[in-house]
Amino acid sequence: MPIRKTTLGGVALALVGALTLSACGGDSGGGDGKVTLQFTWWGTEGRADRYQAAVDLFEEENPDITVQTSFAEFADYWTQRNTDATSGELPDVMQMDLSRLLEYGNGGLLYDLGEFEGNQLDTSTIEENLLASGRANDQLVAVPTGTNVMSLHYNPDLLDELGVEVPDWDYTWDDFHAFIEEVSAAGADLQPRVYGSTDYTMVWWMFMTHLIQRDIEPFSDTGELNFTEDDMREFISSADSLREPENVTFPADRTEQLAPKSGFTAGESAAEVNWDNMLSQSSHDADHDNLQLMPLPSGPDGEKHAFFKPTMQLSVGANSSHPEESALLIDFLINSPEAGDIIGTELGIPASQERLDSLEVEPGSPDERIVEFEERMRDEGHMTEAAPFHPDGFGSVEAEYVDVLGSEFGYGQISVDDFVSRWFSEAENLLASW
Amino acid sequence: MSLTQQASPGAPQDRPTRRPKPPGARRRAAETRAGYAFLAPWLLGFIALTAGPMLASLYLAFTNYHPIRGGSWIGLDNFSRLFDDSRFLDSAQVTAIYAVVGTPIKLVAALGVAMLLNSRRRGQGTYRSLFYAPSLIGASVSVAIVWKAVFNDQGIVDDIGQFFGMPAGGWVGNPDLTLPMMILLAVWQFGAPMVIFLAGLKQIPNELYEAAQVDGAGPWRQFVRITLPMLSPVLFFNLVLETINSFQVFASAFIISGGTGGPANSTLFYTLYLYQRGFGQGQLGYAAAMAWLLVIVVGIITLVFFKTSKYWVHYSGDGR
Repeated sequence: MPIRKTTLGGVALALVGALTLSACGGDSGGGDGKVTLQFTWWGTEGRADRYQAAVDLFEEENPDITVQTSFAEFADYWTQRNTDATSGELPDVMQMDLSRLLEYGNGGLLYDLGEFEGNQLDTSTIEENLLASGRANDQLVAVPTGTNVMSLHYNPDLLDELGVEVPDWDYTWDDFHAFIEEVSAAGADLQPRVYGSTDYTMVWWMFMTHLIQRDIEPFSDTGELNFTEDDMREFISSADSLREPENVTFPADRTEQLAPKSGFTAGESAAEVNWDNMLSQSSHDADHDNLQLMPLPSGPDGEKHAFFKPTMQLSVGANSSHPEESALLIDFLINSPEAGDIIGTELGIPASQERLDSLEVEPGSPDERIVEFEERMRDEGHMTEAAPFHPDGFGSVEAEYVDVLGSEFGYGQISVDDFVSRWFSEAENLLASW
Repeated sequence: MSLTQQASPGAPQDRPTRRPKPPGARRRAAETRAGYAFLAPWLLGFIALTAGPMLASLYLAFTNYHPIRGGSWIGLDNFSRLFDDSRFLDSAQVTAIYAVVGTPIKLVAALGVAMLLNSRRRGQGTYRSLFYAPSLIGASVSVAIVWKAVFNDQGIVDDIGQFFGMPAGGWVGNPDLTLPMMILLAVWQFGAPMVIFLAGLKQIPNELYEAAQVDGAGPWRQFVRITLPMLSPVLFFNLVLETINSFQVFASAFIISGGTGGPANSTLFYTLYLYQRGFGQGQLGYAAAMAWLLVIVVGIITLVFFKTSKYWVHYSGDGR
């Protein structure tokens, strides 16, 4: 009897302690009307500088709102968000990617921003079909910040030094291979060696582009695969001539040594495939202001089949206790002209023409090149397709392709056949609808 | 019979149920209460933070639970899937090599340094602190970052290696050299077992060595015949502890490979892969199955150590 009584006493004591402790960790939006928002994104320092400057401005205009910011690299970022999701503690405002949108949206983890549309959040500035990319289950769970296009980044100064010409805009995949071989041969004697490009077949979005150039929509609306093992095998093998007899693509071990820079931003590769809006980040990382953009090679029919992909999106965690203030912050980031000037094209080309026109890009800056590139792509009729559907689990199969299998393949540990069969067997576990 | 017994007649036999409490019983009950009260926070913490999650993870191991999509009961599928998973086999191999190669080297280093520090020498206290320092800061993120810089391209190890004609490029990007690098990092953090060895060495009576010297035994013979047997309980303790630790290495691998386990899976330690599966890909069921497999394997290894210990561990006074 006394034991039970004291046990209860102890339990009560411990509970009081636990409650006191947890009270400290609660949100700070207490009685004084001040609200603290958590805001997080993936990216590197360059983006962080821009976001932080915009957030400072937002705090100035909204003295009752404090914004705590944090960022991580893309892969770490999603690990952190998955962990947050497990414990129901997603940040108030977070950068969202189309590849994860359905996973989070279907899981009910994102706040329906529809209720703020037209009030705190003005979405009328965004093209309707782009805005639609942020909808899931008839809810507005993400607000797109802009668009980007897959492109080839190149370093004209380095190419001049090597005496290699850039291909024409309407070049083919064979021309691209010849270009890589030529650069790698010209740079073979330099110290450190200079290469033409990394093995682009290890880039998931290059595979997506390959499929679309062959009129294959990668995923059905319900998330089933529309491509076969043969399609993937054919794509990866198409660059065999770059790997045999001597590998002229940027070596995997060098990539590992240079991280967090890439071969391209370290000045050891003359070109790399990347999203066009990444040009400003690459210029920042490479400390080189003359990096240039051009389209990817054309498909078998001579067409580019390029597509605008909604870039970063902004979402609010369904668990947020301050959704209204979060919506205000998103509105500020996508609509305020001052924020627009600070952010530039870092988050993609702004979706609305109005916003684009008011965007003051510095002449000769990477921002200007990105805007001009997308305009030219549009004007010359290269933008023909819609971005592929991103089923629930898209982000995971992409990571499997790039981070896991791409790394093993780069080190020559697995064959093309191993790559393909392992990807398909993992996809079975990673895609929700399989 | 004694006088004292006669002085207190009767009572106990007459009314056994109302027997007065022996002196001190009251205090013992109070102590018990205090004991439980002091235990309660730990006990609650244990139930909420250790036992509960363990039970939950045991349940998860039999499901395909995903933090966002949820999951369902799939029986032993996670366990059977493990053995078709080449990355799982890679991670088990990396961890096994790390444990089998790293642990003995670390213990030898710890014992060697402990013996050096055991002798009487000027400034011995300073040396002990200095040698212990790496393991104090060893588990920290900063050391892993420094370690990576030291072994990276154009790091100090690379420069020295090139001076001796080794190819340039550092160890970090080379899958054949990253695991040795990780083992070196572990060996360098020998401070904890060293301190325990040092305490053990202090316990060995000096007379044994004096007697051996009189009998003409050299330093090696003294080491093999006296130090090792006398130290065997401590050696056993360190071996068990360090083996378990080496199966749980995570932070350094996570930092050095940037969480990828690369290059080419060469630093894909078991726990790192478990973390990638669980939190990177949201396959919590699969990760839980891996965790339980690790518990079982480490349990078996520890059991083997205990079973074989009777052949080589000597406790003073057990007649062996």
